[in-house]
Amino acid sequence: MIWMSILAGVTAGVLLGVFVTLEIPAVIARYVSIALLASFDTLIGGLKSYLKKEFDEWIFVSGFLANSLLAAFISYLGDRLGIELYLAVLLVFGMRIFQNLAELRHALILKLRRVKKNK
Amino acid sequence: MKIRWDIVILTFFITSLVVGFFLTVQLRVFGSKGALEALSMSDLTTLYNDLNTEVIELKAYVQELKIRANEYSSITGNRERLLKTMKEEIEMLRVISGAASVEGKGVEVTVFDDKNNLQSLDLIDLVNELRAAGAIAISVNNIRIIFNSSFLKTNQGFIIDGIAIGAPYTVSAIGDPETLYSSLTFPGGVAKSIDAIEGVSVSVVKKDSIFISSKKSAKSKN
Repeated sequence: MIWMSILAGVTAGVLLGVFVTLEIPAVIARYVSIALLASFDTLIGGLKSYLKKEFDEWIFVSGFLANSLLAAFISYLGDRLGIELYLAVLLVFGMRIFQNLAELRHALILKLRRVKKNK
Repeated sequence: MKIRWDIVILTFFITSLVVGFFLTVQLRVFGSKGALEALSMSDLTTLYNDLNTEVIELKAYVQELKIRANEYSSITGNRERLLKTMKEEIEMLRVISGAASVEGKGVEVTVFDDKNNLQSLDLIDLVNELRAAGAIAISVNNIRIIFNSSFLKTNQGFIIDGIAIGAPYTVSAIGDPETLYSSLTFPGGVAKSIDAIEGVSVSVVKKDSIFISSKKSAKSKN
């Protein structure tokens, strides 16, 4: 069920993106990319906590918004100050994605194993 | 518990919708002009400066061409002046192609090579450096070097355009003596690098008057 909603969401989003011709200015595009990375991390993190039965929609949605906005803001700040802060954001969220994916995998395998046992 | 389930589905749906949407948009943005976006700041700066220089040069060239176009249009009424300009242009082209003899200021490069260590590429480097520095006529041992001159290394020296020559080589070039001189003798320049070859020594002298004769073959074709 949860997988279906994510699949449907991504599919709908891609279709929307293909048909709605939203032109992001090149100046902002960089920050949107970084925000995208952060939101991708939050999505995986949410899925993980859902499988671990720790999911809270408020934490999820607030994390989704705060992470992506903060990621974009930090990169913007870095560009303003002349230091490449976006690298820090890239590193942190890149690592978090792998971390979350690993935990997601663990949770998934444990869950599948339980289902098998119960049969 | 039923309501919570719906909210979970909804939040996941909406967030993945947002991710999917922006992913597609971004892919399109970076797909269309990705080459430049992917470059680093310093690369972009270099690129920007290069393009700026090019623009300035091209603008100067446009200005030059405009002036020439004006000249042409202003003298169309005056046939004598038109003829004179044309003749000047022909004379200039004859100098460049080697069909005309040239006399003027320039530099004379003497290359001593007792052990026959000088390679044809070294000589070509020397000639090209002079040409790049603005030499309008170049000769090696009184053989006029033109656009299709050939250099062939032999046991006794070189064969240039079918004529055998031996050391020492005298390379004469007509042009601004100061520019030609400094283009060869700056640290790391061609004169220094050729001078570094074993058995080879180079001397560059500025001359007030050099005569470079025309190219026989070019003249006969003319």
